[in-house]
Order: sequence, then C-alpha cells, then structure tokens
Amino acid sequence: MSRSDLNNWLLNFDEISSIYIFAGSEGLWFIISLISIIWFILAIYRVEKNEHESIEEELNNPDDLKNLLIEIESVKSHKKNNSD
Amino acid sequence: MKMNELSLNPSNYIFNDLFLLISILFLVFLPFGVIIRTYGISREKFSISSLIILFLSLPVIIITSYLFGWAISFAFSNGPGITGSFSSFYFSLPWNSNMGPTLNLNSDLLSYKITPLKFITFVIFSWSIVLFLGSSLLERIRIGAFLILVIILGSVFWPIALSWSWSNSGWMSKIFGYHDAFGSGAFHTLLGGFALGVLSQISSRLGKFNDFQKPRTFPINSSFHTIIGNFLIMFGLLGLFLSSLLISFDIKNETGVYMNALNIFGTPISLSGSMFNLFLALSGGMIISSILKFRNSQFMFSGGIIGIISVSSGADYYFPLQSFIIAMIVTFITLKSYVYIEERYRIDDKSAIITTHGFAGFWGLIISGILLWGYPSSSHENSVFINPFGQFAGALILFWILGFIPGYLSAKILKFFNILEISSTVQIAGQDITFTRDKYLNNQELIEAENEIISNLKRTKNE
Repeated sequence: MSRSDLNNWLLNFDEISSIYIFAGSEGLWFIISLISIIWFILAIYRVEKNEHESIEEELNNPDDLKNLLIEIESVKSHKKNNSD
Repeated sequence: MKMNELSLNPSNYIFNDLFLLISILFLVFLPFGVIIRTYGISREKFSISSLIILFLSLPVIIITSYLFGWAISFAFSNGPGITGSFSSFYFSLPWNSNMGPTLNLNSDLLSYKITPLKFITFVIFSWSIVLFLGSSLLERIRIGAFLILVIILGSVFWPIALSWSWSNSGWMSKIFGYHDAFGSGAFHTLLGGFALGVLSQISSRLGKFNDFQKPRTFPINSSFHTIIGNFLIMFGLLGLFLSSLLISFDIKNETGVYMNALNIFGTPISLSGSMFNLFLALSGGMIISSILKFRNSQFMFSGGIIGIISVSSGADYYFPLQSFIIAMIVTFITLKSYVYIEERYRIDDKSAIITTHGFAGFWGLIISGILLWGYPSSSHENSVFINPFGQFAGALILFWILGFIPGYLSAKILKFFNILEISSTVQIAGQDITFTRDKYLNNQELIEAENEIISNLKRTKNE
C-alpha cells in the first residue's frame, strides 16, 4: 500500500515538499490530538479524585490523621538519629 | 543620508542557529532551576508530588504549543488588542505541511527562520512560565486544575503577550513605543499578573496564617536545593537573554556593511554591553537580598533573579552601573512588597512569583520608560519613541489584562465547579502519602517474602 506519491528517491527534490505519510490528512490528526489532550486532562482528574477519595476514606477519623502525623514525625526523627 | 537597511545573509543562518543552540543550552537551566527550587521549598510531605506535578506539565505544554500556542505567537501581532487582521501565521498551523517533515520550505518562511530550534526555544519559555506559576500554587492545587492553567497561560496568553509586545512586528511597539528587550513584560510581568489572579481565588495552605492573621513560615524541605535552584534560574535568565537575540545581522548604509547583533525589535545592540548590564544587575540585586534576607535560603539569593528581571526591559541601552543601582532599588522594593502583600492581603504566594516576577518586571518597564525616553523603540520607519506612558500602558496591559483577568476568571470557574483545590485531609496528610504508604506496604511484603525464604532454608537444612 502506498501511503503517499513518494515511491523512490530518484526524483527532483524541488518538485516535492511534504515527505511524511498520509499527506493531506493533517486536519484529522489535529482533531484526534485535540481530543486526546482533553481526554488526558479528564483522566488525570478522575485518577487524582480516586486517589484522594481512598486517602480520605482511610483517614476519615481525625484520630487516624493525628496518629499518621505522629508516625511521620517519629519516622523523620528516627531517620535523623540514624544519620547522626 | 539613506536609512540603514537590515538584512540577514543566507550564509549567516547557520551561525545564528548555532548561537541559538548554545542559548538553548543555557535556557534549559531555567525550567530545571525552578523544579529544583520548588523541590527545595516544598514541605517534605509534598516534595515528590510537587516534582511529579511540575514534570507532568511538560507533555501538556509540548502538545498544546504545537496545536495552537505556536500559531498564536505569530497571529496577533497586528493590533491594537485583538483588532487588526491576523499576521501571516499559516506556516505555524498544526495542519500545515511546514510543521512536519518537508524538503522545501516556502521562501516566505526564511524571514521567520522556521527551524526546530525556534520552536524548542518557544516550548522552553512556555514550560518555564508555567513552572514558575506552579511553584507558587503547589501543596493545594489539583493536578487537573494546574494542567488547565498550564494550557491557558502557557499556550494561550503567553503567546498572545509574545505576539503583542515581544516581537519585531508587535503592535505595542509600533503604537505605544513600548520597549522590552529581554522579556521583562511579556514573560515576567504577565506571569506575576496571572499568578495574582489565581492566588486571589485559591485558599492559602492550611495553617499559613495564625489566629491574628499573621503569616507563619513553613519549614522547607532542603536549603541546598533551594539555593542551587535560585542560581540555576539566574543562569537560565541569561539563556533567556541570549535566545532573544539575533546575533548576526548585516546593517547596510552608505558608508558600508556592518555586522551587528539585534534585539527582538530589530534595533542594533551591543552583546557585551547588554551582558555587562545583566551581570551587574545580578550583583546589585543579590547584595540587597542577602542583607535583607540574611540566612533565609529561599530569599537570600533571589535578589539576583529580581535584579536581572528589573533591568531586562532596558538592558540593551543602560550603562552597567546604572543597572547595578536599578537592580538594588527594585530588589529592595520587591522584597518589602512581598512581606506587605502577604500580611495585608493574606495571599500565600509560596515562591513569591507575584513580586519577584510581576512587580520587578512592572517596575523595570516603568523605569526603562523614564530612562530611555526618546530612544527609537524599533527599527520600523516612523516608529514611536520609547516613552514612560507607552511603557506604563504596556505594563498595565500585560499585568492586568493578559495576566490577572484570565488567571482570576479561570481560577474562579474552576473553584465554582469545586475542582480547584485538594481537600483538607489530603493537605494535612500530604500528597506524598501515597508514595509513603506504597513504600511501606511494598517493604512489608518484601520482609514477609524474605522471612518465608529464610524459614524454607532452615527447614531444608534441618531435613
């Protein structure tokens, strides 16, 4: 299947411009790319939302959150003591 | 006597591109400096997430620059504002064959010098501006919201600012006599205005202000990264300066042909003189900031950045010692105004973008308008002379119309749909909690697996 008029390189380079495949379909690729970037933003929102929901579920109780902070602090000080 | 005639000899294209390539090597320090500094000033529980969010803006800025940002940067140079017909920009449209592998560029394009290097420079500029913005918003903004702001600033309003004010054919130069040699307005003032618009809508980080509404200083993650990041940004700003030059142009007149460097408006400049200006400004700014913010790793050397920004608009025609003094004055005002804005308006500008970039750029434009009053703003015939009113109007347009209003409205809309900020629980736990938890769980799994292997070994030995 020929994807363009370019079938060999023995030609006058002044007569050709585009050397990429499927020349003429650029508008289609533009629309697909635009849709892809919109999809990406929406997907990132969804992934982040799920991640945050699971964190909130896990740390729903304020005491859990408090314990987490205490744990983080103790890990930090443990690390610091080890490095000293 | 005949007017000077400017021309770019085809033999010099390669030299100009080589120079641009070297400039890009300096310019990449800018985004990486911002990322390293942001890692340094983030709290430990947000440090890795901050890096991830900032890096995530790169693919978005590349594709949106290709799809529309690059075209916008050429399209709107006729003005005033959005009036006037489009400039020639067909070659930069994403569906144009010139944006793909093509053997014969249209002869029109030689004047625009369409090479991949120009596009790469544009993308690095765009990425840097959104990274600066992100560095101020992190620890409370959602990734999706940040990426939307990345597109709005980096691929819509920054290219418009570039087109209006920082191009050879920009209408602000032609009509107002606006002059901005090294991006003080189009880059820094715009960034500051946009950051102010968004920060006026987004809440401050939890616990930032005490019961008396006085700001608290948050512990930073790494002073080392913060200081190194600041220095890399300074090198990056020198790259920004180099990449906005046209290094080898022939200027012809009756007496002969002279090769000279031109600024973005096509007026001849001295490369060494402009570089002296930027170095002296760096020195002046840093001297003031190191006194005012002694032993504060975030701000102690930020004066170097403020100093460079403050003279960027007129560094092509200042005397270096004037730059030194201007940088000292603007750095002093900027650092004082950061404290004032934080305390008076309770705006939590984590990386001081509003003042360091917005105010320094704004004041730099005003000062250059006064000092360079009477100089020709561009090489165009009948160009308006540089004047304080033109600079003031340009600064207002860039800060408020292209910066603040779009930033404010987009943040307001995102806030209305409740998709701007992360929840309080996640803010307290820190966005790095996911990594910490995964690391802990993986470690536990590994320990259990190893214990099982040891038990199996023991059993085999006993048998």
